[in-house]
Amino acid sequence: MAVCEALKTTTIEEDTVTVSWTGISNTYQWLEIIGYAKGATVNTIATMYLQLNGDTASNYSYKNIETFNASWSIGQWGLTTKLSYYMPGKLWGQQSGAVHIYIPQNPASQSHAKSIHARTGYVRASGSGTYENYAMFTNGYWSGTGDITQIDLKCDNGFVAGTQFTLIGWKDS
Amino acid sequence: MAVWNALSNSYLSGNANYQEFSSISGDYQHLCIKGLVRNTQATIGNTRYYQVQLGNSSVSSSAGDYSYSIFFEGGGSVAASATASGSNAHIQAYYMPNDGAPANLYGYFEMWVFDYSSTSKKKQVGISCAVNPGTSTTSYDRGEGFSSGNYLSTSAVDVIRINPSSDQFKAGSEFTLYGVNGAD
Repeated sequence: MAVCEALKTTTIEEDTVTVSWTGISNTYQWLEIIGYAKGATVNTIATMYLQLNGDTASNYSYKNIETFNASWSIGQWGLTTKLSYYMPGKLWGQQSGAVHIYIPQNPASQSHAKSIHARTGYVRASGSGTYENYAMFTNGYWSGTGDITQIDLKCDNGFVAGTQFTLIGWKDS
Repeated sequence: MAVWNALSNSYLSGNANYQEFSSISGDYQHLCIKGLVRNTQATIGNTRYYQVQLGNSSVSSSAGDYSYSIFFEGGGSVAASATASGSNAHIQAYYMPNDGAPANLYGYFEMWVFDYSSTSKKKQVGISCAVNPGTSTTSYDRGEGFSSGNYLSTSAVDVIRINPSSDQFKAGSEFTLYGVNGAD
């Protein structure tokens, strides 16, 4: 059996607020989401949210470093209800942003809280202003110690049609 | 042959001084190690980092074989450093959670060694790792780092050792070694 398996690819056909994967197997050691995304908000930038196992309580925290054009900043949040990542908004034509999120499942069935690493980025083809270019590295935490059975990616005003995510499962043998 | 191949998985049932993969087959194009890691240092402010060594038959302890550059953000600041060959006998990567971090929390670790079996190229190593936020907002209790390293040997790599800078890897830490192939 393959070590690395594409579990499901979801392509958005019309503006959609939530992309959800359910019934995720605990036979994987790590889960990975790769894709490209754009928010339906008519703005320069939109925010994508990640929640696990349907948990909407304040059990998440994260820290990130963001570069916007030629400047950078660091943000950190104590306990909150979701992990957040930027993606481009609808103002910037047809280009989407890159998404890469790495989530441990439950190695060796241990009760680990989850360390979630993400990289997102976007460069507008022409333009050098703030929000036209960014890269974001996010180091996240979810206090849940059980198996991950559900992953939800959300955007308040929806992901635009054409956004695509693939969920990948990794095994260790 | 599959593109990704799990060569070895190590789940630490007890605390360990280091993690070593040896007798690595040269049948793949690149190597990747994915891990979840915590160390035994009890005080959260006492940061511990990774020290990576490579070699042929045995890991090299020669400082002349290693150089690296580190980018790390912790707390509210970003730091970067470059270490020339001859200074340290390993490649460093910052940081990992220690035992003062929230319970049950192990940090992300990913390492690549490119064209590791070449006998004509010096080896390029890339590492990403994280100290997890948990509930703390204290500097260095949370952060992430990226390291770019050189193993300045043209010998094929068949052994890799990952050490904590001090103390031990905590039981429950896990490392998986993958061999990665390109398409035919």
